[in-house]
Amino acid sequence: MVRAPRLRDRALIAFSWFSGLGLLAIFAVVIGFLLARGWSSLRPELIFGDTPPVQALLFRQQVFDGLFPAIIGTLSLVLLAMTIAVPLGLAAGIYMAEYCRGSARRLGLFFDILAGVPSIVIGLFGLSLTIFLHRHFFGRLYPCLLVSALALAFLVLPYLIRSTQTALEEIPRTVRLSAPALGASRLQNIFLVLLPRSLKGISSGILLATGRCAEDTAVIMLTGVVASAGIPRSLLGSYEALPFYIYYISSQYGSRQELQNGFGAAVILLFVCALLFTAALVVRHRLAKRFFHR
Amino acid sequence: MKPAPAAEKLFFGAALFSASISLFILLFMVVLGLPLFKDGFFLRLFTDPWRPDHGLYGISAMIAGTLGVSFLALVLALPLSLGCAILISIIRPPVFGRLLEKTVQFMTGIPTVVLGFVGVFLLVPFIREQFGHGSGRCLLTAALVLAVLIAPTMILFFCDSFSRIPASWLRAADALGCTPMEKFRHVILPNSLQGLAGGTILAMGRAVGDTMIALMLAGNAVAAPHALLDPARTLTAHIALVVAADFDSLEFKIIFACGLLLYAITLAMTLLIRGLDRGNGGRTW
Amino acid sequence: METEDKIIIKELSFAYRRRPVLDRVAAAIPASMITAIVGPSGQGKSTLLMTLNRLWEEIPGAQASGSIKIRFNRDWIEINSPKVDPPWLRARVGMVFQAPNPLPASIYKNMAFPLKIAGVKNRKEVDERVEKALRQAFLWTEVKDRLTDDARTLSGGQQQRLCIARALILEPEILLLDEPTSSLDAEAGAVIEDLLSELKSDCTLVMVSHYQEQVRRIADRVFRLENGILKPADMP
Repeated sequence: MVRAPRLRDRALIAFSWFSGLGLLAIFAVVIGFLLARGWSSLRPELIFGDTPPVQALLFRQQVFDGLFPAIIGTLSLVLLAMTIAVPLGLAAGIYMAEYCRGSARRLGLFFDILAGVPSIVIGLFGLSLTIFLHRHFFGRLYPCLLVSALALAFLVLPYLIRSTQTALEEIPRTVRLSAPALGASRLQNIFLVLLPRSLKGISSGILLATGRCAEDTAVIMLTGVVASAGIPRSLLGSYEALPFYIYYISSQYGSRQELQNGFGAAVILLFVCALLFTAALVVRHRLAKRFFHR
Repeated sequence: MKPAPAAEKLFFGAALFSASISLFILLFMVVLGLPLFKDGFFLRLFTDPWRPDHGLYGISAMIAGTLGVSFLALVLALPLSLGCAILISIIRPPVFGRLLEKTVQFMTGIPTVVLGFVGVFLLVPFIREQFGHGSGRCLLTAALVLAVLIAPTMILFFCDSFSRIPASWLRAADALGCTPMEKFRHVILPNSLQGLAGGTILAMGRAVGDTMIALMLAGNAVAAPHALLDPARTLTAHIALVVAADFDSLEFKIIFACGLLLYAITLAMTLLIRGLDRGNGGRTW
Repeated sequence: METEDKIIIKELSFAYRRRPVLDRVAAAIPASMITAIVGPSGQGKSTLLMTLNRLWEEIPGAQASGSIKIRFNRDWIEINSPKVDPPWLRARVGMVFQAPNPLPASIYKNMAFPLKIAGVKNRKEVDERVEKALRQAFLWTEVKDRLTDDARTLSGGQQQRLCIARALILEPEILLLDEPTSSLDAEAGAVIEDLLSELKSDCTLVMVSHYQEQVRRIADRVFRLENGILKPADMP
């Protein structure tokens, strides 16, 4: 015999289904709207404008009415930020998981605080650091690609540290002790056993952090991104970026064509982040065992 | 003891440097905002209106904007998130549950600026037409989109805290003949309150700290909002909007006060979440 | 027969997260014999083994004090001295765990791993020592044609013998065994017991065991650990 659920239970179940379907509907509307409006603009002209793609890709000719400079800007920004953040985050994560004993554990509090600081405040920090250095040390320094990358690196640093630390700490004790029992030093254990074992956790953390760098707008708004700068020429120059372009278009588009480009840029950024996100999930499931065999 | 090897020093240096960044941020905000702390000026930040042309630089309207937008977003997102979390981890419809979970995970990866962009061209016209007055950029519009931004984080956090209930307790409830929903109300919910609180605070922190949604959708008028359809300006949006001003002006210095305030709010939330986490150990029936 | 001591433990105390586990225990462990440590579970038998190669230092929250002297060749060495480098010690005091713990790599790579750590690069020497250690552990004939297979494709008993061989490849003078057969079936356990009896001519074995039968079959000396106190016991 089946007991009929009570009214209160049934209401709760109904509400849960309502929420679930509601969220899915919202998701479908957001994605559907973007694709419906942006799909048609996904053509080579969206990226290269009137410039021949090959000429643009070889940096022989400037692209004026396409997304190419913004894409290259975001790409250089992300690469630079991750070049700064990954070694730092990995080293700090290794320290937290493998060396840190006793009161040094409190360092974790500061990573949590940093993780909670709003990105606009980190951007503001980048800006004030630039002002400070400009006044006292390098008169040539203005908000630029390098400053943005540094600020973005600070933004994702806590995620990298935490994911590295967690991945290392999740390794069971039997595995953790096997190499030291054979005479391995702590450093050998870290590089020969522990890091390879936690590669999937660490690399999915890196992929997620990359996505975060690619999508953040608030940090770069304060540290050097501009609406039109062409291909970034130097680390100390201003640059364009996809997320800022999207914001800029939404606030002041001059023509239907520009608006259409904005939708195209939104679809591209969504696609890039989705790709990184999916890669992070896939990596978490694969990769692990490949390393030792090579 | 023998001295720490070079590798350990290197790792320690990286950790120390990373940790010090959070202190440096605070230091810069305080030092650059220092002129504001003189002559009782700081208190006037909270009482004066924002009238740079009259030498009045109060930010109370922005504080009201931040609180209004993020509370409203939380009020909208909390029941939605709880419902989704119940569906995913308690009711568990076989296909739909997995689909929803994957979707929620994916949603955490949607760029904020893209969400804001959709808001501008989909929700703003809709609100404008529905309510027939104003620009459509208002407290409600921003809060609706912000709710969509913070809901996935909350759902995943809630699901996680539901799944931490020891399996033996659940079996005990099963043995007593509880239906899944009774099990949820009597066993799971009372024992995951800390987790629910943690997730809610985390989401609140994200809502307070988000810049783009409010900047793109809330209208940015400098006046404390009194109704859902009033435009509002948040502290974060204020920083983004004023930053173009002259670096030496008082107007520019004010944004460090905004930064400091945001830092303080999110710091308090971080400490609260850590406190909740620590209390987790002694959980009993 | 006159026996020579290999390990002398004095005043050894151990605490985990401030909770005392061993309280000033003392013992003398004879060379070239199998010494069994018995006693109720959760009393720190595995911990005692980990003090003999200082592996406890890798476990956060563990704290040990006291004196452990080991005779290497003619010299008595105080292993808790700050002058002793733990990796140096652990290469000479091998250890085998309760559950086999092969690395997720091929059989050959597992075997060569300790040599890689020790910096042995000569391919020919590595091959020879891998073969020798695998023969010692009664495993050579079973794996010689599949050295490149993943070690986790071996059976439980084979994996445990692989771990013994891996510990033996550095030619340790002492081998610590933490319930080496408890995760195996009786048949696989018997093979390991034969192997251990064989090994004691080359090396001193210290084994934690739960099985009275096993202790009676292969141990030469027995210590009982209970309530933090270690004392010699009769054959069960």
